[in-house]
Amino acid sequence: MDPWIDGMVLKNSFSRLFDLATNKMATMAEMYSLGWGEEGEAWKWRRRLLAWEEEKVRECCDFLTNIILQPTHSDRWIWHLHASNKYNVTSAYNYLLSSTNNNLAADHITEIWNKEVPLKVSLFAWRLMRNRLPTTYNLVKR
Amino acid sequence: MMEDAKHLFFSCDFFGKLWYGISHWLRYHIVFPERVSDHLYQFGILGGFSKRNRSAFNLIWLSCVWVIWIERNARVFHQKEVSLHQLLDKIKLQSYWWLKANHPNFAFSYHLWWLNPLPCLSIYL
Repeated sequence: MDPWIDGMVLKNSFSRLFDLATNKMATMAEMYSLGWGEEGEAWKWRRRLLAWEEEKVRECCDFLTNIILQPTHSDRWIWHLHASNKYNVTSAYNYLLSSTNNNLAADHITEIWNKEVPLKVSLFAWRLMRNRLPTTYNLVKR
Repeated sequence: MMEDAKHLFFSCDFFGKLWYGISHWLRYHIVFPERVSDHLYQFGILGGFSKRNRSAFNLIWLSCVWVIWIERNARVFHQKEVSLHQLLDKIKLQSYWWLKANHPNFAFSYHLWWLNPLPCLSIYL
């Protein structure tokens, strides 16, 4: 599920409509070719919509009216970290350096809590991660 | 060089080599990062995208740091030391028991695990 408009994922912004749609796996291209105007063929509901849901459809259509997909253009990757939208090593390097504080591996520290190893080993690894082992360096610092 | 965690576990001339022994055993050639959490992360993703295998790689990593710490303490407090090969064997045996204890259907012999652990893990791929 990609963010299509203003960094939003449509499925989340219009979650009620997504719940009701019968063609959940349709791509943007398919929806576009079927027509995503208010009376478009793209909208397929599993029951009749309530008034407020129809309001939501109109809201969603408003978002989409200005979007025109070009079938002759194929998809391509975009690198957001550089103005050229093309990958270069410098921008990736700078990104990695700037993100050392909220570092990439931070989420993975939880992996020391592996149920298959003895608890004392996980506890030991936790002290290691937090640099709280009594190494010479840490002892001298005290 | 004063002993700090990074040095002791990863870049020390002796224990640093252990990681190369381990990656050789696992058939990987990688450059290990210096930070502790990055090191674990890098090692874990060698297991690929399967959660099960990543967990097995993390288990091996935990076995490594544990064995290093125990050996370091033996050296500091009991003036006893063992060779790199013996440490490697300890890690292989320890990880084998940890896996076997948790997976009743882990039916491979220690010999097979000792030689090449990947086929033993690939049952989960």
